[in-house]
Amino acid sequence: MMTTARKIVFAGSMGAGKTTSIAALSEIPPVTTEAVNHDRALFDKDTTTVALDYGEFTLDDGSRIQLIGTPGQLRFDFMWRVLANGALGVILLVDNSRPAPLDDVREYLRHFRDFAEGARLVIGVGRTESHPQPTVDAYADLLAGEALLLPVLSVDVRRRDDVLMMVHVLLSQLEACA
Amino acid sequence: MQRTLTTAGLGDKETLLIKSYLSLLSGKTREPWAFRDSGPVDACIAVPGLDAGKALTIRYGGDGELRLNAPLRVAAVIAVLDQASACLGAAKSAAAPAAATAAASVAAPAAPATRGDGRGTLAECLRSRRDDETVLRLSDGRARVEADFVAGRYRSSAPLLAQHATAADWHRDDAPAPVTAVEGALTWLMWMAGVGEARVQPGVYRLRRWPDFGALPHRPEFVRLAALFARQATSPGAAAAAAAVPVPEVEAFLGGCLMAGYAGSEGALAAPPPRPVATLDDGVRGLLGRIRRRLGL
Repeated sequence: MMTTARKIVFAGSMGAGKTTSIAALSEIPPVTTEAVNHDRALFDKDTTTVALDYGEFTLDDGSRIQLIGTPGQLRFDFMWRVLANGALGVILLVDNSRPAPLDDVREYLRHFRDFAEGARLVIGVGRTESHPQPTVDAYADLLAGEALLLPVLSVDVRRRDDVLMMVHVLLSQLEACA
Repeated sequence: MQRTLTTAGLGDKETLLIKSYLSLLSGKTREPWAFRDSGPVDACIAVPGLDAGKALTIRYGGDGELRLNAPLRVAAVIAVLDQASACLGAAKSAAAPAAATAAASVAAPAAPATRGDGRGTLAECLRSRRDDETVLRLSDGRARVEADFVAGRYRSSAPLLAQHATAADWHRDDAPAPVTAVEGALTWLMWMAGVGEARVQPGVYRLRRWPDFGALPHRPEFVRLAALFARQATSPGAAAAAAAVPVPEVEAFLGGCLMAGYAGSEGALAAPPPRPVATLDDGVRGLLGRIRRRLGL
């Protein structure tokens, strides 16, 4: 039987939790394309995603929802839009411990502008407990400055419930705007 | 931040059940909790009449700000532990004083302020703040609150302030909050006071920014309502019909949003009703519904 597939994209900087989020939802072990991280000055972890992360879950009609994680490094930004093409929506994960997380959001909004303007984008801000600045309100202010009204949630993607909450918010946006 | 818990006066079976729940609750509570047989703890589940010392008291089978009743159900334990976390400082919201900036610019009142004698609900008293008042000290005779609109913080003598919020005897009281006060971000206080009051004047409202559902207690319907009110200015009745939720639920959501500055009134004129969910394209509606069923949302 032919089945169709739709996708939800997880974007964000290196170490923001894209792979963890996909693992929380996927019914298969996530496929990752990890390579040695040569950007340790930017983020101290051994490996990083260079192409994409992939996970999926199956719906009751046999169709699949693909979970796509974009590479975090800026030099792979040409892939972001390719991967997001045709997606239901984008979950943008922000690492609040990075030097300029607000700039990160600006950059991603530039690439995912159509998703943002279509209210098909959710922003999840991680590591807010250890790095309370910038606040969630600062992100909301940034969005307001760009005439956008999007959900900004403080999350810990190690908790599956937080990942589910972001999906719940994204689906609610889609239902309200469809 | 890991919280610690013990029991006082409970039977062995109940204590064992609590321990078992805690071992199963990893990731399900807002903060991780661990059981301690002895030593200082953050909270204590105690039968009536037993003193929990410096720990936050969760009453078992009695009255109190925080309480559990037999039979012990895991959902009730999760709920009371999350309430206790909020009382103990709500790590997430407490860590971000500036997160209360939305509360500092509270939206225009959506309901009358205090009565002629200056008394009213907690929400009404908070809304009655004059522009030159940077700190409000309030009391209902049992609990006291000190809301600092500059620091974006509040202090309260009541561990579970929301249970007092709807009392109508709140009034200004210059006595400072006690040293042992619970502290938290003002946004949390405003949100809880507004949700608890759940009174909204007729009119049309629009979301100005999304509540941080990662930090604020909420019901699942609130997310759908936020999406509706973000899309366009809507009346509570129209939103209730579109989201298929009771009007009081919409008013609770709007009450919190208005108090915390997340929503504002767009006037009394009726706006076009939002497109009801039933008019969604069948394919999209079906797909979103299947995703929800698959993920249990």
